[in-house]
Formats: sequence, structure tokens, C-alpha cells
Amino acid sequence: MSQDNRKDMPLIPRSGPPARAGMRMGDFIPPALAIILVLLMAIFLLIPIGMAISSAFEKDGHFSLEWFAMVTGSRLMIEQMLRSVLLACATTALCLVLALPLAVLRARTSFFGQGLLGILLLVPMILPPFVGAMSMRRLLCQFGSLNLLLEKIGLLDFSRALPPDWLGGGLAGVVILQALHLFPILYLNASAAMANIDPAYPQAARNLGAGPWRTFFSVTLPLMRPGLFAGATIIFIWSLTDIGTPLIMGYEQLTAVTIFKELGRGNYFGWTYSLVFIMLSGSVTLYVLGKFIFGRSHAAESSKATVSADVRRLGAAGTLGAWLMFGVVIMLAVLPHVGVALMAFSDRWVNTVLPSQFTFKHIAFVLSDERTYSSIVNSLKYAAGSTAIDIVLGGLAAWLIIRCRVRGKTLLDGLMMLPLAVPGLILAAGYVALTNWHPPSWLPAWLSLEAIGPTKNPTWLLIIAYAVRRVPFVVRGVSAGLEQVPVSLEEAARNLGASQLGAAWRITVPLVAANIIAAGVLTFAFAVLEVSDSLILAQTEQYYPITKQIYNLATSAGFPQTANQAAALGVYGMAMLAGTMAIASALLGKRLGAIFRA
Amino acid sequence: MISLEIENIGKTYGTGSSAAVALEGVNLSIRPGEFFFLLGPSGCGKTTLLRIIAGLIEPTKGRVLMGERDVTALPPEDRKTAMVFQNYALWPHMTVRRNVEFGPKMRGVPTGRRHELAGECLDMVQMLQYAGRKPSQLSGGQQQRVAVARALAARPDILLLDEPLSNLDARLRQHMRDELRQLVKSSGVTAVYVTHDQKEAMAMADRIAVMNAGRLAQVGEPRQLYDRPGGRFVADFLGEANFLDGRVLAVRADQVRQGGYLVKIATSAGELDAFSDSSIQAGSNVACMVRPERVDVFETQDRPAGAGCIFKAVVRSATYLGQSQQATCVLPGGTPFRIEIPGGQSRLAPSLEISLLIHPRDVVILERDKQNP
Repeated sequence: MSQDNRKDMPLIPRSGPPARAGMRMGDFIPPALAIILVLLMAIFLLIPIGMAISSAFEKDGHFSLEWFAMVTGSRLMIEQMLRSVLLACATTALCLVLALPLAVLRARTSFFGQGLLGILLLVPMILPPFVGAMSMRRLLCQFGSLNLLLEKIGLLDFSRALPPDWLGGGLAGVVILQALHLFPILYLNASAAMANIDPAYPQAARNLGAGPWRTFFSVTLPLMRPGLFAGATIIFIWSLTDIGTPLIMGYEQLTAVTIFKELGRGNYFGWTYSLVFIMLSGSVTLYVLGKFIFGRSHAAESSKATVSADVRRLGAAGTLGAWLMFGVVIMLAVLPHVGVALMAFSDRWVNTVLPSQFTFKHIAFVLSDERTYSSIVNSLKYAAGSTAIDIVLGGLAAWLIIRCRVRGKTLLDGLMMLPLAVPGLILAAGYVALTNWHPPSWLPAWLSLEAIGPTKNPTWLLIIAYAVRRVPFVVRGVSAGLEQVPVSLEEAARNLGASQLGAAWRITVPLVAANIIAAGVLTFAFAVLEVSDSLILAQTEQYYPITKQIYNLATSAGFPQTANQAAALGVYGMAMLAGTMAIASALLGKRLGAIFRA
Repeated sequence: MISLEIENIGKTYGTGSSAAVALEGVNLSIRPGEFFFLLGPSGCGKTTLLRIIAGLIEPTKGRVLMGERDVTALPPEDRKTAMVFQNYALWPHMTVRRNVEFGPKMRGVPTGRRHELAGECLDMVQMLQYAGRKPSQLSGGQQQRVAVARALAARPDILLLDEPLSNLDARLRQHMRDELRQLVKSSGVTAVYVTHDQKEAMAMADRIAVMNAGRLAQVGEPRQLYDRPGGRFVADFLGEANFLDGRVLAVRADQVRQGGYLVKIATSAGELDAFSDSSIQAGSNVACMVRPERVDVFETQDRPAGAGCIFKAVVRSATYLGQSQQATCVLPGGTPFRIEIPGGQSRLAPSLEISLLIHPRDVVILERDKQNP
């Protein structure tokens, strides 16, 4: 009798039943769905990007490196690229400085009003930074509200020297605005990462003699690395490809802005697409590095939490300190929003700290003017359409990835997550290339997508673009829910007579409903906020979404009221998004961070 | 009631050099109405086998037959099994009653009847008064009962239980053993129960299959497995065992037991007599197994009475457990030997010199060397 007791035997597979030799009808459903999803992502993500890239390497119908050489040989272009990278690095670093201490404070302490502060910290996400930029310029420019206030209280004297420009005339302003908008992503990721660490690990370090700082830097921080890197990657790529903020702040010598301007002018030259190719390569490389090297999870080594977390209840002084920390950051972060609201309600605001006269006329204008009103309706239409698509496709993908045994599941997972590595600007460039494509004579003419192109009726193009860009959030959100529902709950249903789809519908869907709704709400919010795709793909005013209309009004020269009208439109956007974010936060709690994982 | 046949079941994960064999050549025949246990250490393949029976894992080879019906290729929902999961797998969004009604509903039982059925099953496990609660409002023991009721309400041909008591505390587990056995036996269903707890298996099973490294080590009734284990693994896994290696000196027909043999074996500690059901050739190498509690212990100055071999021993370490005392002794030649005596007897202490009386009926001959079978 063998006494060999094999320890390394893998005995229970994670997921449901495997495909069996005699395949039944139901067994074909998951692979068929997976194929459909892969095809859809290929058509609406890979092909457009492929077309943009191929345009970068094509001249007179032949392969050519001429465009690429032209771009990489241009000092101006290289400088723009370096400046873009510097901007993204600075924004990411500032986000880290803002987010990490707050996340640690939230995870390791408990104090009065913690929940409220946690929700308020998400407020910056309800406004695209370029909208806030309008107001920040007003507040922090040389003769802005801050300097006027400082002069009033005697700290500045305009007659002796010119007052300082707090936004630093470009880079610093863009960095501050982007960081104040994006740091909640890192905060959510860091909070989630800390919540996932078994408290026994830092406790073991303390027990072996390490002090709190050493424990944090040698145990906690390395364990948080995957979560932090995931958040940092998203922020870096976002900042690198942001166009709205630099445009409003007048800091335009950036690669993303150059691409936007060229595509906006209808200059679909190969060198523009070469820039697109370079940006895409950078983003994808960073994403891959983040996901597979720096962001590798310690999940395999970690186990289920064995002890309760060390949460310190703060006393009065501690609570005050915590409120101060959160308060300063929240105050800075909501400053752009306050500024936008002030602009929206101001009738006269010249050389005064605050508006000298208030009015509702800009708020009323938004609803009475056909252009602004239709932009709200358009945004709701585009966002609702893309959210519906995302819930169906993202939910299915999550189910296939987490619950089913499907060949090529890794490919499906990679494809569904790929949009995180593809900035909106790049995807929009791809869609421009796709809709400009004319089928060769041997193909039917109806294959041309010109009719849904930016200059015609881009409704479907925008819905698809929004859906493709946000589908990873739904996949992640629903996956997080599925991972928390033990597979044995579905197995129990199957064991008692339910089919695979029946078990999924009766047991799994109700249990992950909160995740589905929250992911849908967030997807909707982000679709309303979408900037890059909106600015590039909506070229006719009739089809402008809110963000494009705000940009249009904010950059209209010669009409003094348009900035206030843009701000008023921004207020409507903020109100809509604040509601949706509050719902998502209430539904998901700390799990909200899982949605922003790369 | 229905029988269950497992024919040459094998399960391998992966292929080529990375292949891991989880089950190999498992054959079992479980009788209608039998309460059958799969017992073994973690990773021995017992849960894999249970999930193969349920249809949740596809075997690499072999067949599963329920009665005359080959169910190997059937999906789980078409097998008429019902499983009690280790974590109970009660659906948190449904009440206790809806959980229990789920099985009958899936099998097309009309609303009125399934309401009745759920009531009967909940009553059987004394949980009817909790029918309107959600699983999260129940204690571990109550959840376990609901899980059993849910499985029974599905009127399964085969009831499968995957370590259902492992999440309960020791006292409740002991109480639930009797209750669960009574429930299963009164329902008359054929049941397969997986556990790694040998006491649980011994206390509840009609028969036990002991598994090791993906294979069946031995199948039998609890007493048979304990008293006459087929090998070192089974002997060691079911309780404690002492092993003495030796060589057969002589074999003669047993005067008392018809067809039996009395075997004299030379061990490093001295000569040992053992009964055997089959003849063994003199000169064979064997291993003898003796249970610690089957040894009579005397202080050296007393002269032990009764039949059997006597070994001198010195106590090396002793543990008092209340109802019993356990000790590790050293036999002549340095062989360690575990003993267990009732707690009320005179105290065992290190360095105490004692005599051990081992009756031939308490010695099990386990292995024979290959040259002298």
C-alpha cells in the first residue's frame, strides 16, 4: 500500500463544470458568447486603432517610415513629448502625495464623520478638470480672487509689484487641476489595497520589533503596490492624453493637444497618426508593465484575514487633525467647483473677490437655449445608450471570465481591459480613421461608415466610443461582485436542478445586482464626463454633448457671457454626476476602488 | 432507494509533465439506503470523487451509475443528486423557505406541494419556525440543518454531504453527528459523506472507504477497518497504532479459532504471538500493528496474568487526559511504543518501569515481504 501522500495535488477547480466529451447544447453558449464579445471588441477597438496606426506607416498607398521619421526627427515634437511625460509624472506624483496619507488614515483609524469625508473626497470626480480650469483661472490668476483678497487684507500691494500668478502660467496649473480631479482614483485604489491586506502581516512586523513607520514602508506599502500601481497607471495615462485642461490653461505645447488640433482641423496626415502611434505605444507599455510586472499581486502568498484589523479610534484631538487633513484636501479639490458655481450665478464679477451681483439668467439660459439644452439631451442619450451596452457586454464578459471555462479566456479578459490602456484621444483618432475609410471598389459601398462620422451624424459613433472606453469598469465591477459570491451557491442550484444559465439568472444576478447597478451608474457618470472622444468626434453643434458644448462656449471669443453660460452648463453636469456618484458609493462602499483597477 | 456504482473512475488535471493525478482507478459499490463515507487526509481526492458523483467535475475516465442509469455524461441538474456543501451554500438573498423550495421548484413540483414539502423537511430538522428568516440570521448549526433540509426536499436519489460538520464547534459537531445520522437513515436515501475526521466517520458510517493519494486504500465497516486494517496507512489514519517489524518464526493452526493460525514473530523487542486468518510462511518479514489501548499495562513487580506476550518497557513521557492516560514507552532494543490506559488507573510517570501484555488477538499482521508472500 502506498504511503505517498501527495501534497501538491490540485484537487478542486475554482470554477464550474468543465466542458465534457459529449457536448450538449448549453455547453456551446459560453464559447459562442465569448466569440461574439471578442469580435465586437475587434471591430470597435482593434480595427479602428489598427487603421490609425496603418495610416502612420503609409504614404501613397505603400508602407513608409517617412511620417514616423519626420515626427521623431522633429525637435518640436520631441520637446512636446517630453513635456507631456513630465506633466503626467508630476500629476501622478501629486496624486500620490494627496491620496496616500488620506487612504492610510481612513483604513487605520476610525473617527466621527469618516464616512461623510470619504464621500466628499469623491466630489472632484464630478467635473472634468477643464471645466474647473475656467474658474481656477478666475480665482488664481494675477488679478484673480485670491490676489484681490490678499490685497484687501494688506498682504499684497499691487502698486509696488505685480501680484503672483498662482497657477504658474501653465505646467503647474495643469498639474494642480489634473491632480485635484484625479487623486480620488488613487485614494480609492489605496483604500481597497489596504483593506485587502491581512492585518496579521503588519502585526507580525510590529511583533518582531519594527516601528509603525518601518512596518508601513517595509510591509504595508509593498503589499499595497499592485493597487497603487493600478491607480497610478490610470492617472498617468489620463494626464498624458488630457486635452481639455491644457487647452483652457493655454499650455498647448503637448503631444495630445497637437493631435487634437490636427484632427479637429480635418488634417488626417500620416504624421498626426505617427504621434497617435507613439502615444498608444507608451500607454500600452505602461499598462503592460503595470499589470504584469510592477503590479503583480501577492494574492498567492496572502491568505484570508486571520485577525481583525488594527483600527484606532481617534480622540477629540485626533479627530480634529483628521478633519483638518481631509478638510484641506477637500477644500482645495472643490475650489474649481465652487468657482464654476460662482461663475454660473454671477452677473458682475470684475475686480472683486466674489461676484458683486448674482443672477439666475445663465442657469435659465441653459434650458432655454436650444444648443445648450440639446447638448444635455445628447449627453443623456449617448450616456444611456453606452451604459446599456456596457452592462450587457461587460456583465457577460465578467461572467465568462470568472465563472466559465472557456478557451482563450485570457484573451477575452485582455481585450475587455485593453480600453484602459487606450486613451480616448487615440480611440477617437481610430474612429476618425475608420469613418474616413472608403471601401475599395471590390467591396460593397455600404461598408463605408462615413454616415456616422464626426462631420455627419456621430450619435452611434459616440455611443460606441463611450461604451468601449468604459466597458472595463463594468467588467471589473461585476467581476469583483462575482468573486465575492462563492461558486458553491451556483453549484448548489445546479445540483438541485437549475441549468447553467438558470443558476446564473436566479442566484448570481440577484447577488451581484448592487455591483451591476453601481458599475452602470459610474459608467453613465463617466460617459457624461467624457472629454476626448466628445471633443474630437462631435464636430456638428447639433450633436454636441455637454462637454463639447462647455468647451465651445468657454473658448468662444467676443461674447463675455459665454464663459458664465459654460459654467452654468457645468453646474448641470455636476448636479447629474454628483447624484450618480453618491448612488455608486452607497451601493459599493469600499469596493468602489476595485472598479478603478487596471 | 438506489445503488451507486463507481467504475474505474480517474481524474487527471493538466497534461504531459505537468499532469497531476487526483484520482486513479477508483471502484466502489454503494448499496441502496447505505450511509457511505469517503474518509482520507486533505488532498486525497475524496471531495473530487464526491463532485464527480454530483456532476460538478467531469472524470477523465470511468463511469458513474445510479441504479442502472449511467449518469457520467449528464449535467448536474439531470442527476437527481442533492449536495450539502461544506459552507452550506445557502443563498443569502432567499429566505430559509425559498432555499428549501428551490429543489422541488426546479424539478417541477407544483407550488402547493412544494410548500408542503418544504414545511415537512424544515419540520424534520426542527427549523420550521425559522422559515421566514434569511440565512444570515441563523447560527452555524441552524444553517447546517437548513442545508440538509434543502437537500432532502429535492427528494434526491443520492444525497451527497461534503464535510457538513466541519464549520461547527466541537460540542455542536458531536451533537449533530447523531442527529444527522438519524435524519439520513430515517429518510432512507442513499448517502455519500466526505470527511477527514475519522471519529465522525467511525461514529456515523455504515461503511467507510479510506482514500489516500487518489486511490482507495480500504473499504469496510468501521469496526473492521479499525480492528483489521489492510495496511499501515489505514491503521495509522484510523486512530493511533504501534508498528513492530519482525520475522515469522513459526506458524501453527489455531486450536480455538477454526481455520485460523497462531503465528510466532521475532521482533527487535522480543517474541510476539499473533492470530492470522491465513497461513504465513516461516521466515517471512512482517509488520505487526498493535493499538495503544489494546495493551494491558502492569507495574514490573506485578506478575501479569492472562494469555499473551510480555514486554518490559520504560515510560519516556506521559500525558494525562482526564478520561485516559497516554504514554510513550521504550521497548527493549529501543523501539518506541505508545500505550493508553484509563485515567483512573495508577499514574504513569517518566522513568517508570512497566510490563506490557499483548494478546495475540490484538496483533494485526500487516505486511509480508515480496520474496516470502
